[in-house]
Amino acid sequence: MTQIAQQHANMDETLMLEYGKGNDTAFAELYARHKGPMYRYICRQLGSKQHNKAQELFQEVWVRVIDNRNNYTVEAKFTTWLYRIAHNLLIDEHRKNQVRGEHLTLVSDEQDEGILAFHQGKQEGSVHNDFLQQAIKHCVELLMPQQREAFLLRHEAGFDPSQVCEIVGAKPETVKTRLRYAMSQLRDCLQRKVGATEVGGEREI
Amino acid sequence: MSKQFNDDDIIKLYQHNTDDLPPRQLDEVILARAAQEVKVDEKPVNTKTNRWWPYSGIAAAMVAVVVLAPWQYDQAPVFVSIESADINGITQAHTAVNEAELTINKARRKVFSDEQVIAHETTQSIAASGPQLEMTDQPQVESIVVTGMTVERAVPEHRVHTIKPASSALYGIALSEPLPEFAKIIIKLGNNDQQGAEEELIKLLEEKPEYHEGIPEPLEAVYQALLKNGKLQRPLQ
Repeated sequence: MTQIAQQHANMDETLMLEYGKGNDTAFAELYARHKGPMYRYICRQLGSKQHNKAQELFQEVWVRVIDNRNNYTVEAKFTTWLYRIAHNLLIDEHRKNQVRGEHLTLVSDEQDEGILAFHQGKQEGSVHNDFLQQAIKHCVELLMPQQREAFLLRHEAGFDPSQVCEIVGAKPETVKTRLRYAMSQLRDCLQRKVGATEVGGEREI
Repeated sequence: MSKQFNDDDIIKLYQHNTDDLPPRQLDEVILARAAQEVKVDEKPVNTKTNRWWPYSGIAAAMVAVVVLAPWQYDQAPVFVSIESADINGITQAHTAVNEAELTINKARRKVFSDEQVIAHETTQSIAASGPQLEMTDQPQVESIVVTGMTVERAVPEHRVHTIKPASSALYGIALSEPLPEFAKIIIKLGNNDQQGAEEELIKLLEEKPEYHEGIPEPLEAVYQALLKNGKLQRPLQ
């Protein structure tokens, strides 16, 4: 971690302590720093189909931060504490969905084919990167929940593997394995999508 | 042939356009909630919430007064009547006791005078017959009837002086056995010591003239002989 990042992290804890003393401006600053990564982390975890649920959980995470402002102590990084709250809420949500018989990562083939069809006629143009970005997001949603969580914490929120271990409560080897499998799955998924698009393009041509 | 993606490509591709943000409405809700909670903390402690303490204390005091007041109302007239009755009763009782004391004193004087007479007679009878005056130690009870009210009280020990008849000679009854002083004289007479018996009898009657009334029969002849020859004189009544 660089010196600037360390200072930034220290500022998070300072801001949280300030908010605990009654400074709501400190919370606004804290929220502005972390709302984007946190929001994307929750949205990616729940999938594009549960956008409303993602917003609900996002709000719940910050409400818990607000409610625990007086109990917060600097035992770990603020972001570790913040994402651990989100992780616990997501675990609860996954369990509820499993009871209901749903699977968050289940993305139908029709949706997959629809994305491909949308970009099929544009891939040869300047929007080729847009297609890849849509594809990578879709591939992330297709990952196993634990692999997706490790990938998002590592590359979306920017945590070190050790911090990911602390958040998800797993051993470092386990997290590394999940990350390795996640990258492998994404690679295969992207190659499959790009290959399918090329095949489709040739057909269209 | 499809493109090969390495890890860096995948990561860059994912991070390239990750600009999804929560809706502004959601931001406002969360920031408003945060500001509201801080204002709640900054509010001074509302003392109105603690005002139920004095109210409850006053209510408890009123309940105690309401519960205990009837007892006072019931007892207060009784206290007044008792006080007035005490004053009247004490006055009447005091008057009655004074009257009773006067009556008792009169009765005592009368009894005392009788006792003096009896004591005098007793003294005389003792002198004559030699019985001892016995005082009873048992307390007795004086009973005084005052206007229908009976008052009984223990008589003090120093005032208890019941006089038992010391001797039957007090009532003029002859003794069945002579007194010890006479017995000695009778013994001398039995030993044919006529002179010694006469001297002894004269000496005894000079010392105790009351014995003139109780001369035993064995000495009666000696006594009459002494009266006749003038060696002994009967005392004046």
